[in-house]
Amino acid sequence: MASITLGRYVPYKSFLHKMDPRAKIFALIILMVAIFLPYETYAVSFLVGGIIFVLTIVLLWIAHMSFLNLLKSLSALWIMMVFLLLIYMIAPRTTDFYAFSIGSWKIYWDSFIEAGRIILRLVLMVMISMILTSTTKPLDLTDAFEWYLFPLKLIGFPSHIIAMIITLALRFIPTILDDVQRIMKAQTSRGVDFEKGSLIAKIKAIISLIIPLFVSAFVRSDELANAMECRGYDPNAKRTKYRKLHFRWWDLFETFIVLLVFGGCLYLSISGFNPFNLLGIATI
Amino acid sequence: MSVKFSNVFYTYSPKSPFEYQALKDINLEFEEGKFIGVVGKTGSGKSTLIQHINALITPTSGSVIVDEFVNSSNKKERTKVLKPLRKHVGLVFQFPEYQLFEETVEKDVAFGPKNFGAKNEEALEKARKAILRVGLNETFFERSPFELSGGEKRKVAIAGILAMEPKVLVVDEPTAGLDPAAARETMSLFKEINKDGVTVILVTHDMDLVASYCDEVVVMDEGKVFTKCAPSELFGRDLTQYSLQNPHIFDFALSLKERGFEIETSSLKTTEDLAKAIARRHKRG
Repeated sequence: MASITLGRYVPYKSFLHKMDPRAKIFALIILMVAIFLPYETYAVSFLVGGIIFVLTIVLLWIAHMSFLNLLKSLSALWIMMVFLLLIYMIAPRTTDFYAFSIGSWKIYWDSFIEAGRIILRLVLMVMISMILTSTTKPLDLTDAFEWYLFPLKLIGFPSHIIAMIITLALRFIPTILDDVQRIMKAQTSRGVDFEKGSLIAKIKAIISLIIPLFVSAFVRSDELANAMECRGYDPNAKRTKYRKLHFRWWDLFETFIVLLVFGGCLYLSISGFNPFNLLGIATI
Repeated sequence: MSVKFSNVFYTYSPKSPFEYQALKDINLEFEEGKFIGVVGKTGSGKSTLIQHINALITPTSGSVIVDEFVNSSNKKERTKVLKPLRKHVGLVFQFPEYQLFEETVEKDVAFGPKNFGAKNEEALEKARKAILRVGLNETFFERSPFELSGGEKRKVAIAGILAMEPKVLVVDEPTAGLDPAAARETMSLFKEINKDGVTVILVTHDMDLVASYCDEVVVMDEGKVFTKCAPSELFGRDLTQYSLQNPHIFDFALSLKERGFEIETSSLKTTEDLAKAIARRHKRG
């Protein structure tokens, strides 16, 4: 269960928590782009990935999150890694570094490096998003999101409605997780084993969880809609905000640092500059 | 089956800002065949307590022993296979109607017995018996549980637990949201089951229920057991600190006493007892 609750907002008081959510979303997007930029060689890719990885670990530490827990929740990535490896073993190679052979089938280091690069990118992506969601209140997140949709408002896009939908969806994640726990406990005491058992037993177990979950989710959404209407909610009305987002100088400072990192990555990507060449190290 | 808690502590989300100690050094025994009430205000740890009996949660420290089954913080002592324990301890959660999922009532009720290894026919047989026992008739067997009324759904869910033929029945607020008649029916069902030798543990806020049905009552407060005694011993003490109220009949008797009409209050359980006590006192003059 702990894996599901990962990424849930935890109220610590780090500077990441105090940062403006708009700046955080911007940083998230920029860093993700930096991670996924195409680089000339593998070495540069891994260098950039490594630098961002170290930065992310520092940020995780600042956000009071445990890297070990995060890795545990990503344990399913192993399956994906094996799958990627298999695919890259079949795919055409770009370098000639022969690793070993299975019978007459030659395996090149290429496949491992490619798979490793994708996994590194995915882990980074998940880590950065987790930092965002666990240091930002869901409401702040949607406020920031709505702010970003502002230009679309001018052409009549219902950004408020979208923001409200997102707010509600986020608001109900913990509630539904609680429901999951409650129903799982109820079914466990009726003899369901959610952990062990054959495939059919597992499917049956999941059905006994999913159906009650859907039923209660529908009941809840119905009640919520009624409650909102009773309080006179009108999606098209002009709204004021109770809490306003404030963009402070340190938000600007942090955005600047992120931009600096991004600029460096972009330069490496576009120019094809290989810092290893300067040091005289041969790389692939 | 008796249930024994020794030095049980339980902490939710340890080492996080949500850390919360729900149980603090619980030492408690629920004797076999008794009807025991567990009362206390919201957040006093009642629900956490009862989930230990079924090994749905494992103590942070200490152990819960149900006959030969051990649910302990110590991994070596802990019983590995918990299914038999869960067969013997039936747990009816608050608002159990939210656990229904099968297409028909009898299938849903048979779900528990089937999980515990009963053959299809045998499970359906047990299910039908349980459905009749909770006061629904044959017409319900083939109906969808989702088209029933709230009270009927509750009964089906309770039948789902009874069909497992547990030796300890734990019920969490079984009367919440039921109309008075349905609540009375449900409670007398539990009393009957108790008479068959099943230990019943009732979690509730309602002291009237405690007075009329329970042999013993456990009062929980802030994760600790405040007291365990016979209900009549409890009434008359100041319970407002625990957000509990004396049962109506007891309040009635107390106000009679205040006005100089002395009656025996130690054996008061139901309205009839009260009436009899008044009649006795009246005869004596």
